[in-house]
Amino acid sequence: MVGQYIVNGIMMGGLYACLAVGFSLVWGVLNVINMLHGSMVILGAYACLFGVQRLGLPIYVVAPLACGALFVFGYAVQRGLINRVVSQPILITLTLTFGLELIVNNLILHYFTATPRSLGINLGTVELLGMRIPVARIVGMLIAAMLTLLLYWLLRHSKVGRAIVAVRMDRHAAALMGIRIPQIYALTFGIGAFMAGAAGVAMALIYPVTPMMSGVFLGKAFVICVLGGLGSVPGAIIGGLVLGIVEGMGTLALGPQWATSVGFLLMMAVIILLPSGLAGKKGYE
Amino acid sequence: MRKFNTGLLAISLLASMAASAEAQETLRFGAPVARTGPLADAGIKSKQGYDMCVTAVNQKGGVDVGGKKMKLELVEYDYQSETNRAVQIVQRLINVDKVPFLLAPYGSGDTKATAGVAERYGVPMVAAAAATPSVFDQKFKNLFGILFPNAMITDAEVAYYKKTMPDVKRVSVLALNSLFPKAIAAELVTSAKREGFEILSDSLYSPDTTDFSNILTQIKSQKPDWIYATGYTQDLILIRRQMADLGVEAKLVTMTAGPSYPEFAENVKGLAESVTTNSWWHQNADYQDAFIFGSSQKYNEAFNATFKRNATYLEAAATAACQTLVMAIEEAKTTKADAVRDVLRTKTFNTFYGPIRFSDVGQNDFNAALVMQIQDGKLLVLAPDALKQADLRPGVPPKK
Amino acid sequence: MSLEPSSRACLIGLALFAAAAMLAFRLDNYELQVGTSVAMLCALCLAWNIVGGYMGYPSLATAAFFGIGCYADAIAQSQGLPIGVAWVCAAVAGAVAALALGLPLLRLKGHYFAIGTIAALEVLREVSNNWEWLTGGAVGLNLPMQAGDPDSVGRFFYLAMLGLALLAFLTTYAIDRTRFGFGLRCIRQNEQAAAMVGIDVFKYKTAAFVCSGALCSFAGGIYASMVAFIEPKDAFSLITTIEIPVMVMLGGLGTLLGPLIGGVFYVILKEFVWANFINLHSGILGLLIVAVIYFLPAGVMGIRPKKLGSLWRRLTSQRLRTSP
Repeated sequence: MVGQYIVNGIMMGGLYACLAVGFSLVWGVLNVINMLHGSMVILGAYACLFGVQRLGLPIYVVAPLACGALFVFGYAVQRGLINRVVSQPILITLTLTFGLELIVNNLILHYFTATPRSLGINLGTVELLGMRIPVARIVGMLIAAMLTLLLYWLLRHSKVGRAIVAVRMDRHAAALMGIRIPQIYALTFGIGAFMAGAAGVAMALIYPVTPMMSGVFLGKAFVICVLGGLGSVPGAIIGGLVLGIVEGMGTLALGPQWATSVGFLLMMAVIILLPSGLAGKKGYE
Repeated sequence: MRKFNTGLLAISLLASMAASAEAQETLRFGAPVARTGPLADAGIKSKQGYDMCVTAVNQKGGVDVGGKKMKLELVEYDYQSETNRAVQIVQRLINVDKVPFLLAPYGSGDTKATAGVAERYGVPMVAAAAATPSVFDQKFKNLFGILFPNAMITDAEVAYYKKTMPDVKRVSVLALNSLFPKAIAAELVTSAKREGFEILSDSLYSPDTTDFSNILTQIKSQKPDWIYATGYTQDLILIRRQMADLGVEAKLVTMTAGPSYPEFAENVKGLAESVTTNSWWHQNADYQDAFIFGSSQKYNEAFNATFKRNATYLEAAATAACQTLVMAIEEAKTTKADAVRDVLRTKTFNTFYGPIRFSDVGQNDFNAALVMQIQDGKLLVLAPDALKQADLRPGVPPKK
Repeated sequence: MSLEPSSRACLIGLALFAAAAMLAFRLDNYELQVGTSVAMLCALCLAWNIVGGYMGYPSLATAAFFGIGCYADAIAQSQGLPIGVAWVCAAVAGAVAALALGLPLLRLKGHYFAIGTIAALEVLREVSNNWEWLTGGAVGLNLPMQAGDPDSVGRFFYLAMLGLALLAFLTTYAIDRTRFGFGLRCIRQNEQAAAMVGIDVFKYKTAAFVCSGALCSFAGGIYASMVAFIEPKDAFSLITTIEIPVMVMLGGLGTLLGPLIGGVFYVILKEFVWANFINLHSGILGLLIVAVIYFLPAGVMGIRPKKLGSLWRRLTSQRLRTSP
């Protein structure tokens, strides 16, 4: 039974990590709290549903398409809208993304309605040493882990990645080095949106999707980000796993009505005691 | 100049006469509807129920107020699932739109908050979706609820399962920590304890819960005979899926009110099999309705013709809320609030929804609780006997 | 006669309040209800502006204090205290809560402060949802209905809320004119430098937070008495906590009149959109917010007639600036 609890926590944690990586990246590099993130996740989920159910395409074709569409969306939003105010105080960008979130969420509600929808793909479960693990969650977690590692690798070894890291560390110095900051910002936001799309695909495999979920997902992304440390990719994984396990422990110790509060309390404690997150490092790597 | 003035006067007189003739012929019900926000799904469904009533009444020629036919009209605003907004809208409906009667918003808490305003103005308000007695505990004179109290549902369920499955003894309860689910779960615990069931656990989950695996693992370890879960439909869908993921099984799995809605089975597919639920209404109850729809079945046919799906208790109660008001107005032969309120207080209304009779706190207390189960993808009535369509199939998931 | 800008703003504000108070006997009940909402939002905006505008700390705790006020009022009234005393209890509860939360949270800056305050809101909502014997949990709490006909009750709450907004306005004016306000502005500019010129930074920050929290709770107390029923999701509303800073931004951050103008402007905007677009109102509201950010980056208070002409040019030629 204890094993099952741990597995439950890790599975949830994997999904949480996937949910938060994009949010964390945008926050760290652009210094923007992206209120739109929850709705981008939902958008990814609906894109997935649309491709599978309306267009009749198989999921493995739809999933990359959905993520790609989100990348384009994110790139365009940053290039066209957020870049214009990105250097202004945090409240301006927060308000801007809040406005965008209202627009996107309302459109989703209008076109897809509030009735919950599901992909209806049941991948079954595997049983291991008496513990049951749903395959959909393993897939979701693998997608999350792979993409996150890929992103980590990109940031360390690709030219664009080094540029993003450089901008995060010191945007003035980076500009002097000839890095085109608006371009890097748009790419970063695009990658954030891509990750949100991937999270959306994973969510569509597991959850009944409704437009109202965006707020809950955004709240979780907040907590995970703070737990792991802002802008840190490995931090998002650590934060996600910690939150998954802590919420699970909270459920057992205090009852499920306190589970989400335990997450927020832990976040407050971390923010006050360890402002750079549980990962403990200020940088990216 | 004088001629011009007279002409103007004549025109304005004519205009005002036309306006008053127009106004006399229209009877307006005010309704705050949750079109957006967390309650949007249910809010839009209740709106569909109201529309059924308005269309049917107008097809019949309108509301007959002491021999004069008045066209029925719904004045509707989106309250965005926000209490403050709902209160403001009710003020607007009463003061600006001057509606003489109100239909309550969807949420129980919102119903309660707006009922305070309606009470202050003495405007009768009929609530389609509030079943929890605490909504009516202020003993307002102007608040009337169509759904009968939660306890009647849970009593009927407990009695039926005790009779048909005597070996079911141990119950685990899981409910959303929100007004209605929490209240009905508490009623179930009370009913079950009284009938000698053992309550293994009685947990609440927070509205932001994204994962039920640990609480379900815990429930699994308790080895209950009966699992009772209640909350938003999307939560129940997730709970049913995670039960399958974790291999949680029981002789009985009851969910309120998700399986009543077609999207439950659409979302969980085969996992819906043998899940039981309950309802305040089902078309198979087939009550006769001499007033508009003819019968429950015919109401459902009419609903199906418009919305391409079966009506659930939610839309039916919304239609019934509007219809009861119309019937009370026709009976009172006036649109004066006092007279209509007296009729609402005293009379029993025979509708397609079933007989409606308001208790002294204003909640319908005519017991017509249904116990239901999904069998071969269809939602069938198990109890009461008079309406029975099938026998209970024990076991979730069903034994092959 | 020439006046200092802040005194002029104060006079304009007072004139607006006087006009609003006189309207109490002119407006119908619905207009009074909308007016009460406007006054409430203005009071919350003014309260937020002390911390968010003058001090430059992006607080998202508005609804946390508002909710505490709601519950403090409800609990005080259920103990038989008269309505006015209950409101004072609400304000005191808010002040105490702000002190308790401020001690750890005010050590944080920028984003971290924003997140800390929003976490406080989430935790408080869950606590009120679960602490049944005190708050009634998810079932909510009843408050006694104010006796009287709808007109006089509507007017009573309108004037009460307006009075609170006036109190918040005068508090802001006092802060604006005194060393306290100067200190807060210094903190916004540069906290270390402020400490160096002899400002007790932590004391100032705490005082501002407590002041703001008490005003928010006061508003919550009046609101709870008006609605006569409260539940956690209404008292601790996430939407309110985000909308308030948006409103102040629309009006103009860290100014005396900005919160008033922003509150009124936002409500008018919202009402207009809501009344005209039944299914897409929140999306269109979003569009308008986005538009305001581009066209009025300094809020309504930032409009200078001369600049209007060059607005479009500036917008179209705006390039990303890399300087902070």
